[in-house]
Amino acid sequence: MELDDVHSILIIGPTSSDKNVDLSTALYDTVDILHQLGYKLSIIVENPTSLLSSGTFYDKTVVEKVTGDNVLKYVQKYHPDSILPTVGDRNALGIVSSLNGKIGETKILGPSFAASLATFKRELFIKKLTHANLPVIKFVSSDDEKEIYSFIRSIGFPIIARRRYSNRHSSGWTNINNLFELDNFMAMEDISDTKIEIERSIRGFSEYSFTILRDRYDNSSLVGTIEDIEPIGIHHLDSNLISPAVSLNDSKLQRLRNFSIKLARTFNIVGVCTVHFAYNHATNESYITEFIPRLSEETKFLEYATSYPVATAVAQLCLGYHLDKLQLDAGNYFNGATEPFVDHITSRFPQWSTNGQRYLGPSKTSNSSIVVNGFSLEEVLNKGALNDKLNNNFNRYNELRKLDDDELFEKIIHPTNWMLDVLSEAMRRNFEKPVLSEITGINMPYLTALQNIIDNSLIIREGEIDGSNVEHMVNMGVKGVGHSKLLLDSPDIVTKTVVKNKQAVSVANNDFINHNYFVTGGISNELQLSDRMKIIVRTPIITSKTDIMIRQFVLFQLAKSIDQNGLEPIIIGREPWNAPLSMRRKVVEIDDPHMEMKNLGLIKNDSVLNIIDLSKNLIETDDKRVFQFSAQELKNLKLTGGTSVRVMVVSDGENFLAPSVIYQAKRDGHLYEISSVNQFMTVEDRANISRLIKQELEDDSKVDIYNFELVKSNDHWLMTKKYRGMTNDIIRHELASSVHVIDTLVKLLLGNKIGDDLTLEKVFDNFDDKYLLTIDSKRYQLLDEEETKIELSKLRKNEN
Amino acid sequence: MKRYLILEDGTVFPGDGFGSSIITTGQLVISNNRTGIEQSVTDPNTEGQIIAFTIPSVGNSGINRDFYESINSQCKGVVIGSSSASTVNNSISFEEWITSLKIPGIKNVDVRALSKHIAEHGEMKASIMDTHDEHAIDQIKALVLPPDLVKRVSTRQSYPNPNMGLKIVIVDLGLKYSILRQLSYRDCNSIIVNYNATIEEIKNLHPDGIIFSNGPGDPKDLPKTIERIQTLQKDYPILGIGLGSLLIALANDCQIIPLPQPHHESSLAVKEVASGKIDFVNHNHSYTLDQKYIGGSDFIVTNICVADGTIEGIRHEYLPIMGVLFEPEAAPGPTDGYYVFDEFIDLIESVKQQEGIRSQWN
Repeated sequence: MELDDVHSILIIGPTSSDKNVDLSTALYDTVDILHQLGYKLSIIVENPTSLLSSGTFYDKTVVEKVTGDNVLKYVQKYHPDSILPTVGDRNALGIVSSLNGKIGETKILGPSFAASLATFKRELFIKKLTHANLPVIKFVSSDDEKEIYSFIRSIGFPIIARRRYSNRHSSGWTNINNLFELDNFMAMEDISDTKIEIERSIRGFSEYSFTILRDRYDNSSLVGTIEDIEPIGIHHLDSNLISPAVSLNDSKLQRLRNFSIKLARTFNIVGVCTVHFAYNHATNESYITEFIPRLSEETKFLEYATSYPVATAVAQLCLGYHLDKLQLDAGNYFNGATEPFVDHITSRFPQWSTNGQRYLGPSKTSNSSIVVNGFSLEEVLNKGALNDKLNNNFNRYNELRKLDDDELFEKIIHPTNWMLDVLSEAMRRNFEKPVLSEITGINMPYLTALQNIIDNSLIIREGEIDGSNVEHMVNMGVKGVGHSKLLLDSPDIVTKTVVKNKQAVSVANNDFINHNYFVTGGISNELQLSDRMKIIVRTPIITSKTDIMIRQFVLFQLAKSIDQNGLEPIIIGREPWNAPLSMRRKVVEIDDPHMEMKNLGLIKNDSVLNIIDLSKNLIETDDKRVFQFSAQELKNLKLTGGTSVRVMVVSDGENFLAPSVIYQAKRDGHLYEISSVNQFMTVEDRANISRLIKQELEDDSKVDIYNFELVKSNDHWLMTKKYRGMTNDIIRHELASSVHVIDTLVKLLLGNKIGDDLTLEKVFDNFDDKYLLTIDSKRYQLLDEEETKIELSKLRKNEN
Repeated sequence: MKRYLILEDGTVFPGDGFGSSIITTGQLVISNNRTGIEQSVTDPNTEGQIIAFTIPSVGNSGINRDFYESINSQCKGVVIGSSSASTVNNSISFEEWITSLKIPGIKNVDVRALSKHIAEHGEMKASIMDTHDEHAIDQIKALVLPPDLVKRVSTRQSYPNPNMGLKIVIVDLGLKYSILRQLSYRDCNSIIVNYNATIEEIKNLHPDGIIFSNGPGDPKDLPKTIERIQTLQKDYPILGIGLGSLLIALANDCQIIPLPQPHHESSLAVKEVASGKIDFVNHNHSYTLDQKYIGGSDFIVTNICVADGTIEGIRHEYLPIMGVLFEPEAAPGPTDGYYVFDEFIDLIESVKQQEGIRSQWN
């Protein structure tokens, strides 16, 4: 039975910090199912553009800094029945742990108060785990030298140590391997009020994470396991990740599974809990290093790896639903009591925005990630970490080749994000694998997989591909088409490179409908397409959180619109799109790391109506069906003024609509932007702007999206910028405009026309009732009509 | 070396041979076990089977002989997709291990396509060969799999697994060592007997309870064991595991049916009907009980599979008899099912208690 006394839920939304991972899909899935189940939802969010929706699901959208104070204020004012912190990243747990005893009858759903607090307070974490007989690294925090030495005698070396100062700052961890180093450390600066913290060092242990779901009736299931290729000491999200954890045998897997379930029970976590482990395969020691009782990058990755709808399930579990009686959407039941079985490997390879080498350590430095699928370690490594198109591995290879052995050895000792390339080079020089494994903490199977790749790359380089090894090469994830002349000439290569479903065959998981595929080696092609005409959307690789958000948003709107217009959306990219669940069942997603789909001929050419290309770099193509969506700068005058507008325009080649205008002005040294000001514009402004746009579009005869920037100078509007395609403004335009730009575009691509002789009102038609005010591109406020008028009049006063 | 997995219906899956190079034929079973290669290959339930493992990168975790479920390997062949040549604990590799066991193996097989084929067409015979021609397929079709699988795997001589607790006689139909491990944890004094042990032989051991273990093959091939259960169940608490539970059902007017999609998966959810509690346990069975006959029998259903509603556990309404179709000893798989052994011990204890009270009155 679900919780009877919960009808209204306040969701703690994401912050706009770049440090947090993008959980927009998880948030969308959460609110989608809760809305369908009839709950009244409100959300506190910093940047409403991260909602992927224009507020359909929400009774109230509060745009504020997501802090404990603001959550408390909301609770005191509206008294929601409950607070859901699972989609608000780490910040939400911090808020929850600060609310204890302050929110009266309002319930916290999901992680308990103790669980939230223990994710921040190391002492509490260790105390609770020790009490529950769960393995945790021994830790002492003391200013008493005797106690410290006695503790170290009990645990032995190596240890890590740091000084914790009275202002809560700390010195950072130091590795200490023997008594001599310890004495040196202890003899260093002696500031009063300093505590010394000592922990057993687990550097070099293998890292694993287990994610379990738990309902309030104490039923738990292991949704997935992840292992890090790099050992403890390198941040989990800077490591190359593999799911499922293929290096754990049954006894180890069950031990860690039981620990994970016991931990969730200890803290009475309902919903989801990801537990991180350090494992030493030589001694069979294992320790719990941390736990995450909320949706996270790990759950997002596992959702992709297993097709299990984690976010949708977690939302319902938090509200008291039984694990085996969950719903995909209202009335459509599925068995959540399953431990998904996958017959393939899914990997997550971190990405950095620059190509250079970076030293890796305990702090996260990567900006985004690439996710790939395959049936062997070699295949995922070839498609992901060693994919030249993603990482410039060939340049790395050339640089590393110039190093002498000592310099290369230095790179092995000090791990960088080039580690797999460094190890490959070392193996080319016949460094011994067991020694490399010992030094780097990277397990032997990965080094063997790298060795296999090196051996086979020699076959390619020396042109020794023939009928006997071509199949093997494709199975190993080598680019099937176009990698070398011989591969290209091989007549059966297309039948060897096929598209397979991400879902595995198992008694248990037939419920998880998905149309997600990946290009791989094999014989049987599993791609299933409907009879509908198709629009293919090609997606780009992205490396920043803002870009991820934009991609999520645009893809979602595009796919929705293509589907609603009776066509089949096919999303193809080098890496997968983490689509919201409702959309996942309607689109065909294909991960194609080597961009081979085009050559495979698996989608009939005459069934494709259009190809929408979201790549940032425009490509030359003769195919008239290709529509390049990304912004192409056509005009850029360096003219700045106090007041300007940015207009998004959709054109059918003859007429145009301008459904979204963003007004921008400076006041008191701050930049104010108000979205969707169409109906507040004067008739003269509309006429002038429309005239200028018309002039600009005179020579264009194709369906297109344009972005214009116009500056007001001495009461005259001047066109300063013109882009063809989409700019980063798209989310604000799309959310603000009640005439949805992307949907209009799809309709025009299908051959619909805007119509002649539109009045100015019709051109700028927009019937919004909420307006987004952005200050300095950082702070956001939602305004109603009256508030907007007031803001605009203040800003306009300034104009004069 | 190029080798072929040839199915009885003529479908051919090419791959590369490893392990023994002999030609082998057996019942092809698709195993969705996430881990536990050692357990699966040495599980007596896999006697006469060719096991196709669908997990990727087989053997990464290394080979550990402590996980054996019998002294020798039992299966007739293994089929895999990819494997790893080295392991995390520097043990021998999967392929070296299979070679040392003299089992034929075939790798780089499209196990996804194979498992879909079997899901669609049902379990069938298959062979690992060097060629694929009409003659080979005819040979497979003509081959009759031996019906005496239990006889082949059951212990020839009785042996004890001594301890100081309850005395349990285990009728070995294909016993996995992990059942003994679980009984040892519970201080049980076990004696393992041949599947054909007579009623007198069993009675002479004065057991507190009897376990009919799991095992390979069709339960209907063991009519004598069914008869023995009918007699023994009047005097002793009985636990049936896997094949054992099917025999218990057949001894009590129930019928069994082959599963449309057999359960060979190390972590599949079962639900305790009375409490709604969900446990993840290892399944390795191709038959289940026919729902239609349960109503007319004295059994109540205690556990069902959450995924497909299959009966997974039964308990007699009046007699101290219980049976589970899943494998409570895990090995491989989650350990959630261990409670079944505790329940059986509780059952024995309560029977003993009642007998004690009765003897006081008499």
